[in-house]
Amino acid sequence: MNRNLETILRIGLPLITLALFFGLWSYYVRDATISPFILPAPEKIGRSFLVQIADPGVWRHVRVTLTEALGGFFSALVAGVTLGALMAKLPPVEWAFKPFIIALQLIPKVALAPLFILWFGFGLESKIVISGVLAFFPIFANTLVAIKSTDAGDREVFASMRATPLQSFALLELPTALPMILTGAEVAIVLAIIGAIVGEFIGGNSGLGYLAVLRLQELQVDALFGVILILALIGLLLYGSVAVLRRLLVPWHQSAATRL
Amino acid sequence: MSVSAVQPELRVEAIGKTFESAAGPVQAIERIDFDVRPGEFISVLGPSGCGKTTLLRMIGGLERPSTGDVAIGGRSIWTSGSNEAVRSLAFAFQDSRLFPWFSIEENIALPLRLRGEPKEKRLARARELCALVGLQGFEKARPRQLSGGMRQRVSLARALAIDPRLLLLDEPFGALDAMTRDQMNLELQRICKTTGATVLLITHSISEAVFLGDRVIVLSPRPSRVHSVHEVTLPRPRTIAMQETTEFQQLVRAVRTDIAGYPA
Repeated sequence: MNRNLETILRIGLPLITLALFFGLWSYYVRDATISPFILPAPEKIGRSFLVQIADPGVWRHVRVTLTEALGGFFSALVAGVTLGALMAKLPPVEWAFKPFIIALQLIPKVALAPLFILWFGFGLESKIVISGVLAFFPIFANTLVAIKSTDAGDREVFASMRATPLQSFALLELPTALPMILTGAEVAIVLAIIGAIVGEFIGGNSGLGYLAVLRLQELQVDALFGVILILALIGLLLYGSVAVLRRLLVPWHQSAATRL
Repeated sequence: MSVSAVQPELRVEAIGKTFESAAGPVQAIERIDFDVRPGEFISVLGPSGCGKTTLLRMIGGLERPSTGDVAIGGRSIWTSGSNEAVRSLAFAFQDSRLFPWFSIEENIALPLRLRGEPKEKRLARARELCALVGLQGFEKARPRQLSGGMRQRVSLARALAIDPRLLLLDEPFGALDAMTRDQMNLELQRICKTTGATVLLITHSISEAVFLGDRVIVLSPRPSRVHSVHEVTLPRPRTIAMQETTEFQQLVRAVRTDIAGYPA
């Protein structure tokens, strides 16, 4: 009884909040005190969104942005896990490179985007690089810390069973680190999308970031909102996929049972 | 000359350990010698901090002694570094230390996996051991679904997977409640009889040491030596009721007097 009520409220209340928000917005812009060039009515934005997702030309841009963000994300995943694991297992490698990786992390990396356009051109490559550079650090840092913090007692068990270093890595350290690596990946996927969009803002002629700038220049503000909405949905989809992946890959871990 | 024909299963010879610390060298173990016969159950008792765990780690090939050597079945671990000797022993620790990403049978089969046994063979062995430790039906379960006592059974089964000549137990039931602990001691006795393994048990509990052991070795405080050795002549299988007998209680008192001779 009580549980049913809670379920209804959990689903119902956010819907009411949403309806209230759009209702107020719609009411606020109706008086024409606000120019539609600044803030269009929500129903206009909705219509523009539907028009755009029916347009194959827009889908081409969606594919470009997805390719860039996923390309950057997977490059960051491979590089981050490899370097993180390498540094966790070989302290000299960590001593040699970690100060510089930390230093690079302190640079606002978005500021490097123009350089990458210069070096890698206006095509997909430069955006994949920007996206990858942004997504790299959370995966790298989480892998490094997680592998190094493998429990000493667990290591002792593997030592007592005469495991080789490679066996300890594959059967103990990597599974121990996996939940944290995937948590890093959840942060990284969001950063990867940001990287791709920033790259499209400053150079090239495709992708949703480019499309947003184009709509702004054409002063099609409702269409600009539509692009933002598409980007939000892509973000939700990619983040959701990584979160589901985490639950599937580490069902034994506490984090798989906790809700966001 | 045929009197000493039986070769000791485990020989601990003049073993000593000194740790280097910032404040200078600290002698943890002065010198310990003892022999263990095949199939014998030895309990090791001592005041806390006397280096019991260090002793076990040195016997098990995990920590190099500063002096002396250990031999299993006549093969030296430290001077000749016999790989075969260290491969013939297994550990169980105070914490069960099961791995949550493996099922129960995979946890038990882990030592065999590390030795490259084929999957079918090692899982068959794991199921056999599950039955031995009384956990039939839990082969596919996850460690977190099991109680503390059950997890400790799995840990014991994992140690038995390689069919060790020598089983090294570092307070395996120290984290369990008293009732479960009594139960586990009976189980341990049964399992040891079935497998015929030689066992070295480290414990804090005097009655546990006497209940399980053929001999009880009492260590002195740091730097430790063998203070005394008590033969336990109670018949086997031992029962909980035996703990009420005068003989048992006299033994416990004798051991306690040995230990109480030292300041805590």
